[in-house]
Amino acid sequence: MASDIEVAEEREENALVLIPAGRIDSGNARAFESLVTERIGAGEHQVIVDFSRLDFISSSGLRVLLIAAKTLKIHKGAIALCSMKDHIKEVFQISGFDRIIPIRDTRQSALNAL
Amino acid sequence: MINELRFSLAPELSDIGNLFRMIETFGEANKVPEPKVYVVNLMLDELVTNLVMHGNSNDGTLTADIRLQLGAGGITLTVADDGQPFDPTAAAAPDVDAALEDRQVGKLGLHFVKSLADHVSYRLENGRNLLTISVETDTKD
Repeated sequence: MASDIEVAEEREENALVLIPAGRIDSGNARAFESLVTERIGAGEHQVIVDFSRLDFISSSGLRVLLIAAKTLKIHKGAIALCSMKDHIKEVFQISGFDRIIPIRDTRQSALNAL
Repeated sequence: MINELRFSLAPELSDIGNLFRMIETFGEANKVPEPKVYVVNLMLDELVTNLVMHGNSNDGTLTADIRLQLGAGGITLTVADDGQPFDPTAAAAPDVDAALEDRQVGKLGLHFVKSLADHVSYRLENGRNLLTISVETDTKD
């Protein structure tokens, strides 16, 4: 199984939008973590992760988002998530992550939540 | 119709991609609702990750036998492994209400398994961990 991940990158005003495709699982979460860490390190402190092309995420992926949220808070930045499929939203609810990271239906409302 | 899937793996993360593809094919062939296929895939990602990280056996030949059975009203997932005895049903739950600063990254995987399953049971059988998980498919969610 490929240990890499396809992540498109776009920009909305001052925010970087990451659009991972397919799966973020135990096999490729490290690759996603490296990308996120690198972008934050390069000064991207307003980050949106658009889930519209993501079909699967496990706790390995949630771990990356938690680390990103903690790091961004230290930098006085923020992260928001958007466009999640219902079965993915459920794991964010079960983990209680929906109470610590804003999750919105659209990219625009995620931008407003930063 | 094939309503049972068996898969043995040496828990290395590189194997799990094949398992996921088999589960997806199995799910499609048996018309398992997509959210339930997701749940099974998620549980296996979490359980195999835990095995790889914590299940190390003494002689380094850890194997896991995974069985997926489709019956009336649901899926039964059985994971048998010869790693260190470990009862996931007795594992502590993570604090899902902690503030961002205090959140821990561990323990979430088993929390997902226990939250998404309709029933989970564990026993040690002939020195192997045997975990049986039921996921109902006839309910809407």
